[in-house]
Amino acid sequence: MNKTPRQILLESHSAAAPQLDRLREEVLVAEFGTANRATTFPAAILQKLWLELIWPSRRAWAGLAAAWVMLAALYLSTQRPGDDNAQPMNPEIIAAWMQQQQLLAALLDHPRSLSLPKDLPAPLLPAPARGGPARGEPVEPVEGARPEPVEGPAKSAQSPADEPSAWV
Amino acid sequence: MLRVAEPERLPVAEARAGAAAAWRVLFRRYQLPLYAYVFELVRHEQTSLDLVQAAFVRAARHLADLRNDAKFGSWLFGIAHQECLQHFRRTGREFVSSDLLADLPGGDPGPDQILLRAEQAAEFRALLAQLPPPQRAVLILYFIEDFSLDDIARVTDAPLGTVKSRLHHAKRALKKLWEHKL
Repeated sequence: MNKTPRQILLESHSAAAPQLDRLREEVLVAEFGTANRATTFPAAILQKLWLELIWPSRRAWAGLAAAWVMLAALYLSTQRPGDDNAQPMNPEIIAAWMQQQQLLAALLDHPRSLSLPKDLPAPLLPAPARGGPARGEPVEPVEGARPEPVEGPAKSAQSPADEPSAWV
Repeated sequence: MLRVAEPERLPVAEARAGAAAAWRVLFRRYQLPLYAYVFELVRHEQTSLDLVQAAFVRAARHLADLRNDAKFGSWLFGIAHQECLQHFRRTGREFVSSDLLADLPGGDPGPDQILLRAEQAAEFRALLAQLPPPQRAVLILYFIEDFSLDDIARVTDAPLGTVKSRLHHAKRALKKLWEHKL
């Protein structure tokens, strides 16, 4: 096996390594008053990690941190106010939703005495232009239109309250 | 010669701030190459350990003098080199020798391009020991840390031309000794 002069020189003196370790610690104690206690004190462990893990690759760590900052900035810059899901809903939508909830509750609780409260906001369901939608057709909500009477399960046994005239 | 290598990252700034852990990292990195360099010059084990220790102490006390953190290695070797010179002066040994200035021929092989068989290691070191100390110092610095000529000039406190000359003659002498041995 071939070796470089450096390898030959260092290997030929490797027997002195234990003496050099001892010598090194003596110098450290004499000059800095510290022995090798890196494994017993958290501060020394942190310092050792800093010196051996972070500091030698400080440019790589800095690059990584910069990349994270750029990603965060990019994310924040793409967040528009309109994208916020927590924005308050349109009052008309809320009113329509509440109306549907009340209708549903009325259907479930008093299917035979369906009526709408008088203080409802403007009805959203359109009045049929002529004859109204066929049975089973979906009704498109139109602003300003009055709701069609809802056909409940007790359609066959209509009460006076089911008459459209009774709604007004 | 073009050298393209990732610069070694060492906690020199932390060491300057007085962090003992940083000094431990630095000493651990250089203790063996430094010892090898010193030993190849003084050829005595205990003296080499003492000189390395003295170099570490001086480095710990005078790091503020280092202007360029990237040159910590050559700066530390320079301190060790000065310790060796003082040792030579104390013991009355001669280190300085006259050198003929000569430019290095082009296409010189780098230290990592010179390969020796494992069984030749002892012979290589024996031949190295036969070189005059100044040539040996330059050649070891060149081999062991792949220092540039500027760095070697800084370590040995010698003009660049002198370093070129010493390195050239050291290589030539080593080659001649090697061929003679074979």
